[in-house]
Amino acid sequence: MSELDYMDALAAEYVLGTLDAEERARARTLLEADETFAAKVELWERRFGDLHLMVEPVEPDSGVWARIKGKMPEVEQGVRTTELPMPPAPLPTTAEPPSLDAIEAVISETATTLTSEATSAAATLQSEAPTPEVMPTTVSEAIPGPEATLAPPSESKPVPISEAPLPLDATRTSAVEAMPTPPVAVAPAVASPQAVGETQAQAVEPALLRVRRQLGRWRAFAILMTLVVVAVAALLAAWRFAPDRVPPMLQPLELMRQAGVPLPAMPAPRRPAPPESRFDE
Amino acid sequence: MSTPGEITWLLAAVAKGDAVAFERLYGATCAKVYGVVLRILRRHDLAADVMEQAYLQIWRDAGEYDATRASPLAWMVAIARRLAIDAARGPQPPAADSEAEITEADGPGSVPRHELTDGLKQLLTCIGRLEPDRQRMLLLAYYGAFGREQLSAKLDMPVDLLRASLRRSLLEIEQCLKS
Repeated sequence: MSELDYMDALAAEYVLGTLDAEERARARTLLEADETFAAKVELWERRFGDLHLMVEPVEPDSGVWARIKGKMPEVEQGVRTTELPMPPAPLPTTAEPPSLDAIEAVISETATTLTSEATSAAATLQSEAPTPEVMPTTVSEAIPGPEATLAPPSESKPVPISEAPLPLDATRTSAVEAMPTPPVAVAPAVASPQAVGETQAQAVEPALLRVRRQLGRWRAFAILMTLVVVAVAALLAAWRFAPDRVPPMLQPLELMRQAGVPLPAMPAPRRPAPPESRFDE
Repeated sequence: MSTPGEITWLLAAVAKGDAVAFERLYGATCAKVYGVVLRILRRHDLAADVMEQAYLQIWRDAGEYDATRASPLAWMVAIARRLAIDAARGPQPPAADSEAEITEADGPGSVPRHELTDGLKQLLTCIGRLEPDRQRMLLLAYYGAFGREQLSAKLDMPVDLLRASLRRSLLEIEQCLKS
């Protein structure tokens, strides 16, 4: 116990680097022939391995890479068997090269999507549901606020999904339906929305079509909700700026009466709770 | 500096013959590896030769890397170190005039605290338990990869004594790391 045996010492000193040329040559031969010795060497390399962290990095001459690259084809032909696609990361890590590309793609897609939001909404509606064309314009001009809050959920959710190669399983499963948005949203921005939309619809797979239809429904829903907001806003504006021109049916007092506010004896069918509590005090 | 995870990923791609990943791997690791190699060989021309051999071997052997056993950089450094020490022990071509030997530094550089791995902390703790003379001897041996003759001259110590002292240090470190 008080001494390393010969093989251990040889392995340790091989790794440390203190063997002379002759001993080192012997160690190299053993390394090839003796698995036990190779394992010992590997163990010592692992023990001392992190000492390299304390060495100052030194940038090698750029010619070094050129030399390596120049010798690579020879190696390549001997060793490379197949050209496989990029392997999945063996550890749960963020893989730098693919994520960079994906992020770039996502950024440009997002930009296109955002700028062409109104156009694409109109295009989708045209091809999916016969809704008046006036709506999108009204929406974006009258009330940008509600638009911004309503549209993004259907618009922005798909964006992170398009980086499918990344291991973002949680996000992917949570919003699978919305996945192929980018192609849909991007296409109208490129050329005449309807034409591109139709040719695409014929070309793409059924799954994509189904998703597009779902997307269209969501857009329609978003626009419908926007219209409701527009109507309420218009009513409020009318009350505020031209009260005398509001039809009697839409006067605030009349509405309140309909809602059951002034008549506690007749509870309103729709929303009894708030008016009553307000009146009780 | 790339993370070990990124380097592991690149190594896996290199194992499949991905030359682009190999170039990225080189870019991400060459300065660290070159620092180690240059410290042993102290000549840029020799260090460049070893870099070439080492990376060609990494290109060939990437499939043998086992992430459960070592960090990817430690694995690459180990390959380069073996080659560098072999080159240092072998016959060396005379240095060109312009190729002055780099003045050697004794000890290692400092390491940023966030880069201290658990393994390194444990090893440094164990090395720290050695007597100061033997600490210096061990680190000088590892970083400079000096042969026993050179070390004995540097430390002004008979070779036999040096050998015994080194082996005692290695044994103590082994026992310390096991405990």
